[in-house]
Amino acid sequence: MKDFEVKFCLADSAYITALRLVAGAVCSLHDADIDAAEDFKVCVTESVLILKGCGFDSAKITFSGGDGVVCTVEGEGGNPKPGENEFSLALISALVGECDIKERGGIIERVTLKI
Amino acid sequence: MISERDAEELFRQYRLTGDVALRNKLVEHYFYIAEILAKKFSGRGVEYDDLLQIASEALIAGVEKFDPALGNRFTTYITPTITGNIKNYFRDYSRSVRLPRRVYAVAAKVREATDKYYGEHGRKPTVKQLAQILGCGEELVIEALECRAPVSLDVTVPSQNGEDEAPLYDVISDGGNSFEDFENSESLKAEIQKLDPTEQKVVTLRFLQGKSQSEVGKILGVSQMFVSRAERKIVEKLKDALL
Repeated sequence: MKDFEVKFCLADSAYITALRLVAGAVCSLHDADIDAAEDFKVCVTESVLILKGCGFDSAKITFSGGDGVVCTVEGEGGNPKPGENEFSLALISALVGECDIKERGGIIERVTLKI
Repeated sequence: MISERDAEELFRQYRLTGDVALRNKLVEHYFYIAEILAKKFSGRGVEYDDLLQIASEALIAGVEKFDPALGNRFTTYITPTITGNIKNYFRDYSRSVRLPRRVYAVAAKVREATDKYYGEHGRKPTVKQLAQILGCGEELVIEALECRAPVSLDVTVPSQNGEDEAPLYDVISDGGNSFEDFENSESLKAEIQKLDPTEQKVVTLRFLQGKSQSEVGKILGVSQMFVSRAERKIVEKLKDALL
């Protein structure tokens, strides 16, 4: 699978459903079973909600294949501030194989997920 | 407040004795996790109180099942458990009216095929496998996985007395205020005033207050079936008068 990006404005939550469909399709391309796909979808959307909670305007989500599925969720624009995300991150870490968080000054800027 | 070590000891004692008081103490101690997770998922179409109830039920079940001898921390075990239950609730209730009808039909088949596959192979299928089993496109399966089959409003459900059946459409409350829009019509008002007092009460409770037939029956001390018949009669009367 070639890398591809999805970018949308965080103000409209309807795009979250579209993102879940995209994440589900990517999992399907990689023959993930439907339980693993559901966990992945939850983590991708949860990461987007973390960025929204931090105050970013939009999110750029990059999917890449190869050895498993890797999804990078990055925040863009807006006026981000540090937020309370401890539990969201614990959830994400519990559900996906690997999770990497890029944080600057208490603001989560990027979440990378891998299954 | 009890320490994590004390909590572990309580779990051990609970496993040995099954003492409900110990279970309750543990549930109380870890209740904050249910609250945090319920808050986390609130504001997405489901009331916080409902989410807290789901989370609490999962917490109680988790405390009852957790075995500290397996070496895991309870918080590590319970977080995905509660999350899973909340996710299922969302899947069942919060997004079931948005996707096209054909997707719901496939969703029911997907669920059936998934259970069958799991029974035969001991693991969940992939989308590709489901598409092959069902003879449809993978895109449709992916969409179907985003919903659960809704219940038809025409499906019959037991009425309040448990003997008769009524369409779900007649039994559920109307959360909307569509009738208020019509209330402004002077002619309709005049016709409603011609109804006998019981019929007027049915109109008020059913259409203005949006109560279900069962609720109206309870208030008036009659069966839901009676309310159903009275309602039909009233609507016919009003139709005749106005059309």
